[in-house]
Amino acid sequence: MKLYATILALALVASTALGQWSADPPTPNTITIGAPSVPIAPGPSVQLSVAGLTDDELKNVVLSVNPAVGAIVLKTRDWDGRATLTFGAVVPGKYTVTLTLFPDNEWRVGASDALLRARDVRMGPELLAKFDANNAAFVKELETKFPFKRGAAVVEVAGVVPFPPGPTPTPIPPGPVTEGKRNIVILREAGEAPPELARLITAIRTGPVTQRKKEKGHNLAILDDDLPESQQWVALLAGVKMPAVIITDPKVSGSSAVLFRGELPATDAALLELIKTYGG
Amino acid sequence: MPLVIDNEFVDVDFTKQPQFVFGDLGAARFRDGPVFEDAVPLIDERQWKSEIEKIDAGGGHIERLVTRIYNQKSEGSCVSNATGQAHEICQAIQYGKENVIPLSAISLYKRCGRSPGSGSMLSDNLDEISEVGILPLDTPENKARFAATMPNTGFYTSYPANWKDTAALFKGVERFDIRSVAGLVSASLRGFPIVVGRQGHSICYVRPIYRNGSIAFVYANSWSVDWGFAAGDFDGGFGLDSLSTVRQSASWAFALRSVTAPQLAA
Repeated sequence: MKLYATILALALVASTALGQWSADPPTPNTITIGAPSVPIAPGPSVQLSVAGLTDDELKNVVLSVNPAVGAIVLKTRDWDGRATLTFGAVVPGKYTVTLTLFPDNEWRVGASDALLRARDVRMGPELLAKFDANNAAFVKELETKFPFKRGAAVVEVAGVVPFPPGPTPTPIPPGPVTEGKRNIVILREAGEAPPELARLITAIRTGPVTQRKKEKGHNLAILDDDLPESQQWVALLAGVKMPAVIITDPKVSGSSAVLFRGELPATDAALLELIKTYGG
Repeated sequence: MPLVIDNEFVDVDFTKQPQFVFGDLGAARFRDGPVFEDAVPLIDERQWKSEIEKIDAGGGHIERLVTRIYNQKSEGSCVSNATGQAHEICQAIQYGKENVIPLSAISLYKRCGRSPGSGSMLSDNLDEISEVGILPLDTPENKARFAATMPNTGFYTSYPANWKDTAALFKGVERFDIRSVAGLVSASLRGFPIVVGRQGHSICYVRPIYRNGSIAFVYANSWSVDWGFAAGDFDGGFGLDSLSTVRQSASWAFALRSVTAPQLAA
């Protein structure tokens, strides 16, 4: 059984590899966990393959990418019935792709659950401490007898070519913009959560932008790019660096509904001015 | 409303509070969800203070996005209440406070606990809200809009017919297990609501602060607005954990980043 995950729109170069799994012969744009380093030709996609494991083992495999790209962790059970998985775009840099095998995982979880369920019985602090100490000792013994197996590959993003970087605002339509209700969607990358964006979102949701939204009846959504409901906006924001904002006129259909698309301004005051500029 | 910390609600020993009902059973150790410390870069401890000062200067953090203080009453459903709180904060981020759809904690707890007082595990609540979802609260607005709703309390309340179809509208999407104080601080600075457990009780961390020279967390409790100090839009309902207490919470915690909810489809 082979499983593949496709990272969309990446060009990666494998630099080192660790681990104990045998590998299929590498194919162009394919990184195999546990295989020797293989240069990856730039291209629109990269496949990750897992080989050398039994079907039972594959049920307990977790594949993670650090720093995160799109989907943070892939569990093989999520791959059932699918040949590929699509990730979001990532920024250039070094990434560690880690494959972890949890042998007898379900049994271990069950044993741990059973121990923790026993805490349902109310105990005094002293008894509880002894219980937890015994529990910890048992868990440590489990880990010694059944160590997790890991394999990893360090990959380097040599270039990202999903879309041209930078803002690509749509010019203001000729003539005065008619004021009215607006749909405003802010799109942020899943896994990307800088503190300044968190502060900006709180300011947007509690300050003048929200006041304006209520007064004018606008819709304002702040969405991760991997949510199903985001996909229509992801398509419209192609070519714009995230976090991005799109302003549309709900009374107009088709592509002419888009009044603005571009990078999210750095402050809520600037966003408010942008909304006003485009008739909101 | 400015944050006014009442010392009576700092480092509270939950077990000595009259509202306490044992409810947090911790978390399964080997569930294979994404671990925050592995998936998201931690923020250097040297940056914590300056980042928190920026939050203070901005007038607060996601406690301002809390739209409801839960009341679990006499049931051990604290973990489900804290999980619902985290989902509602994510709704407020995504769709605005005015569009938050209040949720039924008991619709989650019934699948994670075995009796009104059994309590439940954080990991079970996280798995259930991620895989099955949670029902909306039985407010008049929600009853008119959704086929299935439930109250916030009442363990023996039956599920409505076809409830899973409605629950599937309200799921957690991007979520992380948190294993350390550094993970808690980093996740909170990045704006994630965090469900934690300690002393048999569960709460939702909503704002990191510096107090007496060290890190501390403001949390939303589920003991109604009659308990705790004021924060955000509420006269009560909030407490504070200083670092020594935060350390107890660091081994049982998860954060939500994004959720599904049907606001845009309305």
